[in-house]
Amino acid sequence: MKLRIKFSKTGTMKFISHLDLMRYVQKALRRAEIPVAYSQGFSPHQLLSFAAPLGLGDTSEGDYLDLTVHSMGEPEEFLEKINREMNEEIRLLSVSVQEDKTKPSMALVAAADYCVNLREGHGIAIESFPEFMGQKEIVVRKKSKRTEQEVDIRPMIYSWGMDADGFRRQQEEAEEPLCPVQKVYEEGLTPICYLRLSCGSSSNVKPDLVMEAFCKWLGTEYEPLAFQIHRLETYADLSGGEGKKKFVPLKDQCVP
Amino acid sequence: MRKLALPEEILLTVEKPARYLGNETNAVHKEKETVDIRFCMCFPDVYEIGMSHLGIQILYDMFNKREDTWCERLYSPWMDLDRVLREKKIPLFALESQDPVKEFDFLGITLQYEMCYTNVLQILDLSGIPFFAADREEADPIVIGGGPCAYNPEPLADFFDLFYIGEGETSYFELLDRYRENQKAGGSRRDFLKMAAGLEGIYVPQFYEAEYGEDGILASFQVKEAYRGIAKDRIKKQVVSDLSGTYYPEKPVVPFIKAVQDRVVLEIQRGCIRGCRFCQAGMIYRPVRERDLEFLKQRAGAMLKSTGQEEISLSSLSSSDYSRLKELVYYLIDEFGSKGVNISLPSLRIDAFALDVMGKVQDIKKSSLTFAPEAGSQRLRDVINKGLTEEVILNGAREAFQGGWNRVKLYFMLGQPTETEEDIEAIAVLSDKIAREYYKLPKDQRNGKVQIVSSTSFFVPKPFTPFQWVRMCTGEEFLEKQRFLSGKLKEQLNRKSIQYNWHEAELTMLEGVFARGDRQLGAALLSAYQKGCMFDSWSEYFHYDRWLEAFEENGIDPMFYTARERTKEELLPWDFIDAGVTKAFLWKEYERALAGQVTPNCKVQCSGCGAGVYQAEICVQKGRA
Ligand code: SF4
Repeated sequence: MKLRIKFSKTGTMKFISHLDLMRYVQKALRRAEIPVAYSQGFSPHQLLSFAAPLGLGDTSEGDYLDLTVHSMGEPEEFLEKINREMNEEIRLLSVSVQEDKTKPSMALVAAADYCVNLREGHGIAIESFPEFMGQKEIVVRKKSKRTEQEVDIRPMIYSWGMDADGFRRQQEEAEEPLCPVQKVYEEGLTPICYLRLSCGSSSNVKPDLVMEAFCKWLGTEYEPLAFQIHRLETYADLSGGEGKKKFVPLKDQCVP
Repeated sequence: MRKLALPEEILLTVEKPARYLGNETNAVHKEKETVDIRFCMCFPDVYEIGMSHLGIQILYDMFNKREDTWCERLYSPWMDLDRVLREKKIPLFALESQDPVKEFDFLGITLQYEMCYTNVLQILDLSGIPFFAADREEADPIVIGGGPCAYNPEPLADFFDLFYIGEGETSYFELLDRYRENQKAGGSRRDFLKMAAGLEGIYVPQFYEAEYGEDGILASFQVKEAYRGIAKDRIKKQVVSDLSGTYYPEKPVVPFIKAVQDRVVLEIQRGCIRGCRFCQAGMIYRPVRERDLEFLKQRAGAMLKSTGQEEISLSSLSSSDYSRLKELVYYLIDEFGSKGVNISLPSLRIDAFALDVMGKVQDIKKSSLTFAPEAGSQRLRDVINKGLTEEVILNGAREAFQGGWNRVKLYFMLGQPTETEEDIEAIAVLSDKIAREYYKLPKDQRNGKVQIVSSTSFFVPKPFTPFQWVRMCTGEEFLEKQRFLSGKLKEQLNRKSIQYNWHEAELTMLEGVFARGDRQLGAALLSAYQKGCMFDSWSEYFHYDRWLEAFEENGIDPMFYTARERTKEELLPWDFIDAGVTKAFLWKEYERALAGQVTPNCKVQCSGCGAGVYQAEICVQKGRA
């Protein structure tokens, strides 16, 4: 059966890279003796994949992984069994059984919500953020391995807000209250804005890129270490690519 | 968030911050208020290397079994963090508690290779512990060294309070008990060192004095007047006679990042029966002791369960000599192979059994056969007592080729005693013969082209081996041998199938100096460190020129230590250590080497090496204990 598991990554686990996190989860699954399905072939591997890699240093309460198992039992117990094998800074939060024909979440992911936090000892003229977002286009230089090109990222910023309530009011699909990260995990952080950004393999905007563009627009120096990025939720788009986007959290059935 | 020693601005700017986090699966956490002894166990190299070391995992587990002790880990901060720590004056810290090393009772440093000596100084420096043992104060940790390089501790004598000679399982608890007693009695650092000096296997360098003649050769080595009757004249290596009853972790620590050994390690035996004359491990870990099969089965299961690792590796100097290897390996395959666990078997002699097992546990197309003949000619293999014949190699290769393998790795050493050009040429000829063996197969049974990789390293004479007296080649001589071999390889019929890997000579020279060094080297080591030498085994950080300067400034001629033959009568810096094997035995072996006589292994016949005093089963069987 195909499972989609929502998880959080906080605290010092933010220093663990995406690849190392995958290895960590693989080992935890083995320790918990979960009946994971394996691929065929000479060196079989667990049928396990992650939705969208989180940047080193970022935290999250809305990441997903896909896991194929032979059986699960009671969902609560199932999650608890794996959570026991991991440190408290990685938590499996919920699990949903997906239809067999669902695509891997890696292919489904279309957007993610983020809370951008300011670290103690840093400052920024965040009151100008609405004005910045009011622009028709926001052109940035995007570097990939070989090329560097100019891209307008404004269309890839689907929505934004200055506080949790304001941000939530815009989203009909975000039914659960947003949980400001600093209250739960971190000290010395002030949330400054909320963003829903395009995420996934076809088009991807990292919150850092938005903040860098904002700083540039403000004419102040961009200090990457000033911001703590926290991912809140990850979505699929069920609109089929036409008309208004229809974002659904990955834990829901994501078959259009 | 867990308290970390490094602020996140630093963690987010250094390479692989997970090196410094601690809190890995199975790491041990205790309340520091509830323990009497805090022990910081250090491997002086980068995390990924240090975390792969079995010895530390064993001692870590063993120490933490004591309620009164909390043992934590420490590895060398990589160059990027090193710079930051100096700049920001952040003291070096242990991983588990993230507390400064200076607050610990003990700093134990394992010495696995000579090229980590500058890193030892880095650890002391960044921890804020005085370099010289003599300058340390009551609040400083007791700095204790162990591991194979402690068998000649003299180049490091100034920097350590204690050395522990031999296997940690036997005397460490007694040492910790003494420490606690002394602490409770309000005794001083010196009081403790005196108590420690009375324990078996413990060497307190400050209590001894070495005098050198005008020729630089050690003239006398003895306990200082004031410590006669307190410190021992000879330090006896510590050996666990029976391994079945000893500590072995069931829950090894699992790193977040990929370590060099990203697997569970099962030590099947200690020591080696073979007696290769160049091999220090083969001599200092004598006598061979096997672990009980049932114990190994149980530990294999427990470790895989507690770590979630996907691979298990058998560890020993020569796995094929473990008497119940077949049973163990087939058990592991049956029990865990189906659960997707890989089994890796280094140091296996290639024979029908090995090929059967390798065929089961690895992808033949991707794996290669490994042979370590160490010398190209039979004559030289007899000199070094490497009991591997050309026939065995060629038969093994043929069977493997028939089984579908087509890659072969060969390991040789250049510069061993009595080596001639014929012996070197024989390396090229043997490499070619193996390739020819492959092309004897009918075409339809071949699996593409054969690939042979021949590697040579340079021979460094080590203490407590039959070659401890010999002259080591100079850098130029080594390079000349390398060029000669390279030329000979190009003359072979199958030259296109043979790849040659060689080593840098300069690092080997340095290894040679420290391997058989003495106390006179301490000052040069410190100068080299102060000139910025660190991570010498990493070629990008190895600065030979700075080392040469350091030697020069301190009046050290490196050739005195490397390219000088010692006489039978010479007092060697490590003679005060009783490593089991006697000097008389080693000398006899040296003479046999020169005569080209092989010495049978312990299972065939006991040679009375001296290690029988440890009453291990094999020696008892041979009537030697
Ligand atoms: S005493 Fe004999 S059997 Fe024991 S280790 Fe020495 S040579 Fe081998």
